[in-house]
Amino acid sequence: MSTDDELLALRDLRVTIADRTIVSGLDLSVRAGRVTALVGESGSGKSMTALSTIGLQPRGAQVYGSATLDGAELVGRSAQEMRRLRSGRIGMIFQEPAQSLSPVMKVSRVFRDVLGVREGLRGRAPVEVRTRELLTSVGLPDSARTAASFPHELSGGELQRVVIALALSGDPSLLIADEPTTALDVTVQRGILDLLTRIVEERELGVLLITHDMGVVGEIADDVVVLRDGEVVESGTAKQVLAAPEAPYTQALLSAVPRLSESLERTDGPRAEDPGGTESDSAPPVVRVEGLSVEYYRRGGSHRALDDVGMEIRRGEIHGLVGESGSGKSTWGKALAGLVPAHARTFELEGVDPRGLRAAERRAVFERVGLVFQDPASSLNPRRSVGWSIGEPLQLAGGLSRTEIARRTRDALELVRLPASFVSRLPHELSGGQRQRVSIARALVHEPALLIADEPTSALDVTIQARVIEVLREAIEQTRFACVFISHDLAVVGSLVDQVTVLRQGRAVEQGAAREVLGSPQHEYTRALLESVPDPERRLRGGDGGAAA
Amino acid sequence: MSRDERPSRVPVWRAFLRPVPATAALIVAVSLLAAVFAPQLSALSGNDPFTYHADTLGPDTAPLGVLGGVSGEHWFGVEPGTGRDLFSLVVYGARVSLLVGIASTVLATIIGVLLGIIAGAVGGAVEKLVDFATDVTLGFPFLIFAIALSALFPLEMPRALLLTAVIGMFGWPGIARVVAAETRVIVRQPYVVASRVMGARFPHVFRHQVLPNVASTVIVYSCISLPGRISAEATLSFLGVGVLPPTPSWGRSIGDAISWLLVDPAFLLFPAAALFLVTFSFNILGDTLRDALDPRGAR
Repeated sequence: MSTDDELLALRDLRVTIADRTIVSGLDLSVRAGRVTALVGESGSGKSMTALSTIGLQPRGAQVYGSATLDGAELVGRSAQEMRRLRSGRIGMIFQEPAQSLSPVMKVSRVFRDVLGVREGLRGRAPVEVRTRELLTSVGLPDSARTAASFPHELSGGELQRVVIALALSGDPSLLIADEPTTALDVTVQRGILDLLTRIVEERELGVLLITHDMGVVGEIADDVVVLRDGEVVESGTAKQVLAAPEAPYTQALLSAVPRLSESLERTDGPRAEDPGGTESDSAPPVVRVEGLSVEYYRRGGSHRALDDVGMEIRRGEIHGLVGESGSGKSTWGKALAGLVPAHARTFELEGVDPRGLRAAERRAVFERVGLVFQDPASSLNPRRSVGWSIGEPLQLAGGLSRTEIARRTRDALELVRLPASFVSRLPHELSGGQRQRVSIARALVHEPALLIADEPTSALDVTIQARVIEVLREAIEQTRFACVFISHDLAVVGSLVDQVTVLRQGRAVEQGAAREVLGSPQHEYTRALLESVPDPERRLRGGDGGAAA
Repeated sequence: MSRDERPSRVPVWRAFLRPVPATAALIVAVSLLAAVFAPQLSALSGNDPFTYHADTLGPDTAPLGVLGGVSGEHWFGVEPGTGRDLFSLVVYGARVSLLVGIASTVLATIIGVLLGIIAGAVGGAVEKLVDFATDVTLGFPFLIFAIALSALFPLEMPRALLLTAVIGMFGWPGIARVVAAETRVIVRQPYVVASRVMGARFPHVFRHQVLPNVASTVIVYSCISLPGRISAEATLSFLGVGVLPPTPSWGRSIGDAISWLLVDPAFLLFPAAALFLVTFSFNILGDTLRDALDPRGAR
């Protein structure tokens, strides 16, 4: 390991904010033509590290230690010098492409500003030429259209490519990518990861990749540094760390990543014995929907979010809805909860069609539906205690004494493995995972017939996600309700569900038992989705073959 | 981990310990007390706001002595033309100003919050209707309407009630708009959606989901709009359509003082200073409250 090819070297980097240590003694190096991944869960200090390195730490943060870019010290430079350095040598890519660009500026305008600063280009013609060149280089062939667009007219993948093109202006030697694919769909993520790999190879630049996703690490990183609470837990080459993790935390992180192959084996297990629940053959299925369509009317037109789909779920069964953003999977969940007007040939919840009923009766039908949402921050009333939120469905149903509600609230907390003392807490005093478990408890407290979980784990760290899924699985085994599990993450779906529907642009492209659909997909879209799932071990397995190819 | 978050919740009253908000709170408290105990306070100086003291006036009916006749007997001097005790006038004036200001703010807040939440939560035609009513109210020429109304209003009825009603009825659109905008966001939050799916009807959503979450905005907004209402009362009294003489009011005293400005500037000074100090203090309190209740403001 010679140090002369080190592009960026962090030595004992420490960041403190108001006497609180955010990063304590980080060593890391990025080499030209390689990708160094900084891995950690939220709050581990990984973004703070990147920002402090390039002098963008928040006000009040103190940075100590050393960070050198090509041998030049970065820590302690004036803001003016750092600005000059950043503009010429460093490119930065952020997580949320839609927020990285000003919504009121056309892409061409952004390029004009950025090229003026980073490449000193003036005048219309040279800027246009360079813009086209950069956009084409990031895989946006129709560069004229892209340049003439406002950000909202572009898709998330296109936007992220634009952001990468901007970062590549001025031919930087270092690219810092902060969760560049987290907000994107898997198939789009695949494209961006391929693009990053290509850029690294072609331009010989070094990439500092910040991510929480071991799958992304496995796909493109060469070196890995694992961070936890501001401390380095483990570092080494990607191969070492992924194949033989030494630190228990790294092992926990890796084992928490849901894997499709494992999850398919799991579905062979206990569930195969009681397919569909033998005792419920006589009872009507919890959900029976046929020919369901949902149309949204907007100004001057309509948009068909769901087109002629159907499903049947029995007690104790979990049905997964999988698809990318805009595929209509959330709309389906909302339609089942009666939140959007839907047209359907058959629409029955526990054998009852709510559509013909009067308001009070319809409410009684939908009362049997529990909901869990994606964002843990907004799924609980911030001004009411956890106990109140969990007991709310009972309070609404009425007819229960206060002590009875308190008892059932405690039972529900127990079901999601939270201590009874949480009753008096306010939501903001809980972590994201705890809040999500409270949401589940609220949805389960009135013993619903159907639970609709809309991306319940997408906003959570992997280790927490694993726990929440475990809680959900246990609860279903205990109370035997039916569940619709909506997710973009095929591996998570595979680890939990019995039946699965793959959605694309409002249509069901494939439907059936999870093991069959995910194990031997028939439709090419399902195959494309499955292939796009980042896998920590993909390159390890195919390591030799990949090198030869 | 969740333990760490608790100390970051600083109690709201802590924000009022800094010197400027503390002074403002003191001024507001003093003026409230003055309004409540106006008879006792003016009796303390041995005066009342209705007795004429002709002996304190010179031949041109301007007060004798410096600063409009400030003396041990008349602490703020006397009113030119009548010789009434100015300290008593200012203290009694606080009654009308604060009563009308606070009562009309309460009225405007109740109307505004109700209409705002209904508009934001129900949406559709109801929202359009409330929006329309808001536009109409905002478009109405407030002063002309108030002057016209006071001409129609029978003299025997209490004027303070009329002023409260007029200022309150014209004050609700602002708060209704703010509350409607917040409500629109809140009713789309997952916790409200979940509650509705579980069978919650409007009263439940109103009481448990929306009201607690707009409460801080409402408190702050009404606190900030209160000084405007006090000034509105002063404006109307200044124009001669407020409370009837001889009831003391800051606005009318200021109006009267304009014609004496060159001869006796002190007559303008005391009521105007009282009005300024009280509105300024309420503004400071409103700002402090807003910063204290905003979780992002907490560093």
